[in-house]
Amino acid sequence: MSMTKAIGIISTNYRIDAIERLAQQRPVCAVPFGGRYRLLDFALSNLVNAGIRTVGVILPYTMRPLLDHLAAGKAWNLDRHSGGLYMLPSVTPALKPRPQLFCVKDFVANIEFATAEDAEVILVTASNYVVNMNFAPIIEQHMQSSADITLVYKNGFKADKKVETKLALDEEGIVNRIVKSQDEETCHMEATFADVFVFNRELFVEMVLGCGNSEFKDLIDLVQVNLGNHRVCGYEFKGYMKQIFTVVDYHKTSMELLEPKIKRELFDGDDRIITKIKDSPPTRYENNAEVKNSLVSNGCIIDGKVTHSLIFRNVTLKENCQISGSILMQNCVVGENSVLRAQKNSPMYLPKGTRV
Amino acid sequence: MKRKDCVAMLLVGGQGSRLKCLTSNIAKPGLVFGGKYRIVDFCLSNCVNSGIETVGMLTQYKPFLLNSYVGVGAAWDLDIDRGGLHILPPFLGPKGGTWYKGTANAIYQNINFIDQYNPKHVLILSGDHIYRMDYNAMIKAHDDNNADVTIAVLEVPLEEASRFGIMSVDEESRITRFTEKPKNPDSTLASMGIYVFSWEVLRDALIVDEANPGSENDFGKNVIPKLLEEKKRMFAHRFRGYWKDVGTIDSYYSANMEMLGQCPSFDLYKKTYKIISNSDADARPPQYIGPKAHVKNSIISNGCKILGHVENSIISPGASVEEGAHVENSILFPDVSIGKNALVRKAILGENVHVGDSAVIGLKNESLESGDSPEDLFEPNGITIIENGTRIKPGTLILAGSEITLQEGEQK
Repeated sequence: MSMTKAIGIISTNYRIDAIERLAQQRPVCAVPFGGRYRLLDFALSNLVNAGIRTVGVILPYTMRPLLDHLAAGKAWNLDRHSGGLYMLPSVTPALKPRPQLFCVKDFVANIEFATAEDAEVILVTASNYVVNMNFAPIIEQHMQSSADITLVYKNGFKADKKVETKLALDEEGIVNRIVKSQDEETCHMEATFADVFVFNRELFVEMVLGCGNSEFKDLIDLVQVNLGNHRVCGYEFKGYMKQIFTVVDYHKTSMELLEPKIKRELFDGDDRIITKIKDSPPTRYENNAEVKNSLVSNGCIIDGKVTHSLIFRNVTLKENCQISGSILMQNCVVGENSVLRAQKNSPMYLPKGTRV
Repeated sequence: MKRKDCVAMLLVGGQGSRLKCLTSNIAKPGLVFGGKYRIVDFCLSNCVNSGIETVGMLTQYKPFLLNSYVGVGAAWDLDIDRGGLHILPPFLGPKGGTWYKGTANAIYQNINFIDQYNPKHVLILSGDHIYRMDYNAMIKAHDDNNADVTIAVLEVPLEEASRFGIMSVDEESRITRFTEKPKNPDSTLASMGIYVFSWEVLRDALIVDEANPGSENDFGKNVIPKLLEEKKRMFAHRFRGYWKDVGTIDSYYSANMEMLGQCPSFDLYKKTYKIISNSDADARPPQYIGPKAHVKNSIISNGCKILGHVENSIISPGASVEEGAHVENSILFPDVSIGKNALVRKAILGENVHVGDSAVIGLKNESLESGDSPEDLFEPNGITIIENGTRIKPGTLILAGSEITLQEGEQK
């Protein structure tokens, strides 16, 4: 664990149109994932696992599902006297899809959070990534390299249909150019920004408050403008990472969890991804059950055939139903002899509580 | 302080010696049950489901794991001020102190604790039973009868009656006779070890009992018979439902197996009167069932990895079964791992037990050449038990009904 005192901000106030079908009633960060998680759990757990005990969440416009999930932060041990979980109301309702993940105006409105604590650094992260990223060595490198700002990147990283932020680095790992990949010549640049920043806290406050008329811009644009004035370092992340931007991303990443290596890296290490605890009984398999290559959550009752699927909590699969290549959200019920089969390259997706 | 209607006193200090090495490091109520649960969950859940928010938990034998499991009672919403969960171990006072000598003495030593809540009723519970019960109905019956003591009773088969405290009642359910473990039972109404007392009556009775040097300070043997002798108003409260005392390997094993099947005798999935647990299953990822796995008629918890065959078994959080391994009619505790091509039959494997590749647990006795192992060394019903943390080396053969303790396991 890093000894540097750090606080964290998670930005959730953005709407991604491409994911609409999954996120109609909820912000992207609250989309259920992997049988029992929500996307936000990754960012939040990564902060907590790095020893960060003060976390602010910039709330999305449709905040109810998120508030319901986070409550007082107990599951993440953030219901604390010193530090803990802070809800930071956003001021720019993201009713329409927009490219910024980190709208500067939301940071300006909540600058109190960053000024009240005496932390040395502030870590800012997005909330639509599936990644188990240890932030501690990033903060350590930030301190050791006397950086003002550190940007985390992954080489060759690509999400579906998304404008990427590309970084150009010199031999010493200093970021000397930040560009958007819609530019034809730059979309082949290797280093893609992973939407994780480490700032010296005082610089962060100064930069955000001094943003002038850039307040509707993205935090990364602010860094870009100030690139010459500060020491901005890169940190290469080499592990498994996926950004959920479209339904295709979501389905593809969900199905990748069935690969043991990926599941192990995300979920089976010492640094667990933590989620809100819902106390369900274990899953009961009955005599007609035939389950292969699937992830199944607690609370299910299974008496059918399941292959290559993701089954969320409290799903009931009745006698001799057949499920393959599907994602069944919580409380779904599939009746006797029903057959659910995925289309080519796209899993069958049953929303919460569906009865077949 | 505002008067509490009811304080529950939960007796969880027993070793459960008949469970052999399964309880070598944890009191019986702390034992894993039904996959993700521990036995104590059932009583604690019954309390909070009945609206009882003040619970004293009397610990004595190997309390560490049990204490850390229940913690401050947060999982049951018992982390509250003015009540909540209190762990009550034996303690020293100005004139010294003793271990809890018996069930009644344990409550006697905590008279001050109960006095601070000054409750109308005290509910005495054993933390080692599997059942779902609304204690409120019992307390209401107690009040309606204007009773001093109410004992929960269950109809048992006559041939089993001599294992219980047996009572006879009149037509109003008033208890006329109580015999602890009678040789020739004349009734089939058995005490479930659940008592509602009016606190004043219990307080006086405990002081009298403590002053009697001949008493074993036990509710069933001493306090209840004495109060009956004194013609106190004592009533039986009939319970109809699933109730199981899991005091022996056999009863523990069969109670677990009764959670299986399409219509299990005890339904863990009922939405009301839910059994609440503080299991770390909820902090683990979903279970992974591999491409070559076969899972039938089993209960499996979060965090498990099943690549082999699992049938008629209870698999606790974090357990793994490798390819080619067969697990049948068995109970696997948390984080057990079963190596490739191993065979596990009718066994109870303690926490963190590792079974090496191709080992066989529960080898049938007749498959052995000669009778060099006397039958009486083994569990009569052939259940093999392996102590927490034991590592079984690859290829080891273990006879059905054996008890493998940690040291034996290391030597093998």
